Amino acid sequence: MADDKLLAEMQALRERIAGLTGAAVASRDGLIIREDIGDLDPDNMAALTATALAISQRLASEAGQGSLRETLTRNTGGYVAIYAVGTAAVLVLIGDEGLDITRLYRESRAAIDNIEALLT
Amino acid sequence: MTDVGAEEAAIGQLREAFTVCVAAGTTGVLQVTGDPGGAILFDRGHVIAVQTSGAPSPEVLLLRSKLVPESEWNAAFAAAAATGAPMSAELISRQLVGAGELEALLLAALADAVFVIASGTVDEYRAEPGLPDCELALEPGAEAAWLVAEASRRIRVLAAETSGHDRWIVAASGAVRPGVMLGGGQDEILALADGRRTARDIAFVLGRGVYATMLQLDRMRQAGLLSTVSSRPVTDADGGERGRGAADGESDVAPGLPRRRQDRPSALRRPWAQGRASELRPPFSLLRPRSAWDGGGDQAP
Amino acid sequence: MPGLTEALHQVMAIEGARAVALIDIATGMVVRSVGEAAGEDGDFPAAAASLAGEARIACAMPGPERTGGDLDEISLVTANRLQVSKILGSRPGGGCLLFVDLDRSRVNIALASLQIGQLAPAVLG
Repeated sequence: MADDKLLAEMQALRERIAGLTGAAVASRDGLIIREDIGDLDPDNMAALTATALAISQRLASEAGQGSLRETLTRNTGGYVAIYAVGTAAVLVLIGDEGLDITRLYRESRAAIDNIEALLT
Repeated sequence: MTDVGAEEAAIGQLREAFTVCVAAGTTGVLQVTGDPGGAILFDRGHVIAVQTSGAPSPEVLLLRSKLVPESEWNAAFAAAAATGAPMSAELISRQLVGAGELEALLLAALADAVFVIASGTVDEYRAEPGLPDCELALEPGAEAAWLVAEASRRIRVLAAETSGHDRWIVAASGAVRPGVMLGGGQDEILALADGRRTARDIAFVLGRGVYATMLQLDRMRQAGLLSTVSSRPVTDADGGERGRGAADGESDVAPGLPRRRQDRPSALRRPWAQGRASELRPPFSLLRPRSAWDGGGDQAP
Repeated sequence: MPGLTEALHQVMAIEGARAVALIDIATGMVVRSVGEAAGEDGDFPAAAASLAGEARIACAMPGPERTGGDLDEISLVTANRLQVSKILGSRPGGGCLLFVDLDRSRVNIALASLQIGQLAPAVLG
């Protein structure tokens, strides 16, 4: 099932990247597709992620800076990184303070392509 | 056994690199590429800080353990930024932490970080001149040889334990009983032991060192309170569980420390456990006088 | 900053003290040491780790069942030595041992105990 492959893709990311504590894929209209985020509320995360992506894309556009690569929220207790997956979905990655965000961006490229392929 | 060989090689690599940096009186960053790898900051041949994704930084240790409240930290950070004073001085002058307490914490953080890097794999290392900004540096820096010796001691202690360490920590059924407090931090650990976290992850949440956490997890495992699994259960669309990974006291991975090595692109997995140690050299020589760092050209080793 | 080493030197001034060390309880690591610290076979790090392990076990006992209160000090007495380990800065899974190794033939135990008790709180401060 594509669902399990999605989950497997997210779990593989978590295995590879130290500090990545959660991952979820949601639709652009804020509905959760698949999640591996532990105790966090998937519905809230999905809705917020979709909104954040939309706003960030508009910010990038408004600033005349081309297309959005990544929205990164840096918090006291870690990071939330959001990426567009094609035009219909969004990937949110959640990490603790030890997350290597440079490495995260690099490693997430392949995962995003794989997830996009799984969703089409 | 090749995994043990790789770990021994990692600490050997670090020992070698540290020896060179100490002899050269290096001021700069020793970048260690590997899993987890990291960056060791040297000031005149002494280690003042270590950055790695594998172990909590001093800031995480202070904040997550609630030694320093977040609001106080923010105020100290703002003040330090404004005056250019080091964060450590600001924390001490505001009496958020004692001077001796902070020194002990920084030393513990350094030792934990070096231990974690030495317990993983090292693909290569290179030294870069110049020091980046570092929030909580140990002044004066620590002896590099001492850090390696301590890392080696910790690896030996863990290797002597009877069962291997697999990555995901799971509370044993019945370990958590309503109304029963185990104390000593064990309740917090059981609450986190949901199969999605490694020892490193738990250490970050609690604001404690990775090695200290591993010791406690091992005690709890011996007490039957938790177990480790090598792969996490895959849940199906209804949220039920299928195909639980082996929950075992004896790991199917060679005894060692939690590492993320599955699914790594093969290019990153180097067969370097035997005999390659001498082949790995920094791209330029560390053995040059400190003054050469300032705009000096690259010299071939 | 004067630092831990200087604080340990102050404890070293106690009559009969041969070695003073600060040991991290959670890891057994010797944080700082002054003097001739030696365990059996001269392996002080191993002895320190062992001592810290004992402290962890003693500190791990749940509060309500330990009517005497929190662990304060561990003392080891042999024919020639008195080794006092005072718990400093104790918190769940944390804290340090202030380890003082004294020559029994030179030490006034009561005085040394008093002096250690007076100097200990300032070590981490």
